[in-house]
Amino acid sequence: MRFQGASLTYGELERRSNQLAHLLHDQGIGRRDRVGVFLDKSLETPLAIYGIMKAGAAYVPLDPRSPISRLVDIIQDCGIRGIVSQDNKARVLGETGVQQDILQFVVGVSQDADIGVRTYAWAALDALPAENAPGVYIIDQDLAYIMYTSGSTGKPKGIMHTHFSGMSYAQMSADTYDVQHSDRLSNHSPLHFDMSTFDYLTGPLRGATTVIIPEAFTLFPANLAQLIEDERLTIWYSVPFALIQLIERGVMEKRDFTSLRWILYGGEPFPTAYLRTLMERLPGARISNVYGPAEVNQCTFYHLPPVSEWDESMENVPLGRVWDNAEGLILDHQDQEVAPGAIGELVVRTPTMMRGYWNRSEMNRRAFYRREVFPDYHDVYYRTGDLVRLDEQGRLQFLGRKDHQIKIRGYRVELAEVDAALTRHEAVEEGSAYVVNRDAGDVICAAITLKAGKTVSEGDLIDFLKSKLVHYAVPQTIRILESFPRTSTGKVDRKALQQQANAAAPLHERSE
Amino acid sequence: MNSHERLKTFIETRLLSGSKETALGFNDDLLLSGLINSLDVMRLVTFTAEEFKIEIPPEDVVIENFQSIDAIVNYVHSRQ
Repeated sequence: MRFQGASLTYGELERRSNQLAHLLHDQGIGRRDRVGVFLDKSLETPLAIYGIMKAGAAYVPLDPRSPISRLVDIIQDCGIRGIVSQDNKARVLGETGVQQDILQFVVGVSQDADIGVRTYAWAALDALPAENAPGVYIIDQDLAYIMYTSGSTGKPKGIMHTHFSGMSYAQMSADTYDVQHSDRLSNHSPLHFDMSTFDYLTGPLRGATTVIIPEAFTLFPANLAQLIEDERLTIWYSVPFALIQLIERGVMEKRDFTSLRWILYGGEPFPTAYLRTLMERLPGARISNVYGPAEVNQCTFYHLPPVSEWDESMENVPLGRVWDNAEGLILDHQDQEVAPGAIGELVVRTPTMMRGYWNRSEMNRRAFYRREVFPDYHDVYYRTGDLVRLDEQGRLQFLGRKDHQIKIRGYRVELAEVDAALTRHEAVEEGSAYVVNRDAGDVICAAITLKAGKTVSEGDLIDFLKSKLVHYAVPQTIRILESFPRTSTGKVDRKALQQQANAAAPLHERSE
Repeated sequence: MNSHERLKTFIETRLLSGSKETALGFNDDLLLSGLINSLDVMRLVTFTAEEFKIEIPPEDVVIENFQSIDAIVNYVHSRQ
């Protein structure tokens, strides 16, 4: 593992994570426990996730950028008893107010940080056994990690992955991309985003090097280009946005990217014009479209043919095919398989599939499709919510979402969650978010109606939303309407709403 | 207002409007803990170029030149 020029060898990772596992074990952490990882990008991140898993617990990534209210939601939702963190997070942890009744200790902050729970500095690990992990027996159906994602009710939901599903993903992705000891992977994604499992599980499975990219580098394409060259990366994996920025800012031309042999992208579609430029600039690299909701890690791949072989189907790059030891079906509204070539929802059965959502029984009933083999015995498929069709060449084509879930720079956002946050403001009667397509990616905008006699400025409302939502879900503009257009079923007509909102004056002009 | 103050005012009012951070220091790291996002970086670069009437080539849009208000002022001076 590498970070800003510093290295952590696998030997060091092994010993240090053993020590962390002993510390957690001594705190009473074991199977059926959850431990949070609340860290900036750093070499402590792999230590934390392996230490937690070795103690028998599941790791739960906590986004260092999320509002405190969301942190509290997650800590309470899955009952996080311990957190691995760092000194600059002590103040925020102190403000969560979850000390004692749920959270009992924090590792990685200095002993004098007064946050109301037991704290252990990293130096506290030094005296603990390094050669072996504590004798905890883990079965493959125990939870390895829980990833929280946007939920339509306004509360995040936790996707539970077991050692079996995580390990299956590591094996299958390592095979698909022939990851080797000599490979150098990019960790571009933050830990709470499911792409990080490739960087932190698949890489180590084959003893490859994972280069953890500092968050600031993701904002500066020129620095990112330099890092790819300096670190001689061989496998890149990110959302398209990062690569589009490299192309748009013109920072690739002077750099030597010949070390790259695979470029994997996922999370959202890659605009074809940029993809073409990328392939032309990097003739030695193969490009693969990776598809799969976080609930299944990954389930399809499509290795792009050379640009010379592209036809019109590449305007909307196919998802490709379901990987080898998985099965996909395309279902209609009655859960019947559609005729070949017809549109339906993709459902998949794969060893990389989640166990379910943490403590969401109703959601779990709806998340899976159970096909009866005989009474009380079912094959279980995850309903992706994505509409697809199989083309003449046997490739899955993505056609859109069944619901109002969207992607912003690869992050899932439920528009309903943004709506719910809008209406929590005292002046807002109704709120509805929608997506505006821009060349370099989509942005979220919103419209509201006001309660009688109330008013709010756009800036104040956006500030309010920043305290309720993850940063990428906060709308860029908010417009005010007299009333919302509705469909015949009484639902807000988001398309008509968008047109009306575009015609309305900006909120800040109205309020002045 | 001097260069430092103009940048500080822009960053505090236009980029950090939603954060509850205390007053920004000239040497504070703007890129720590996600204080600003990629859109903010673009706004900051555009503002710097227009406010100080300099051209900023893409290869100069790097962490070293935009990490703090001090760093931006140093960079601006080197371009004037």
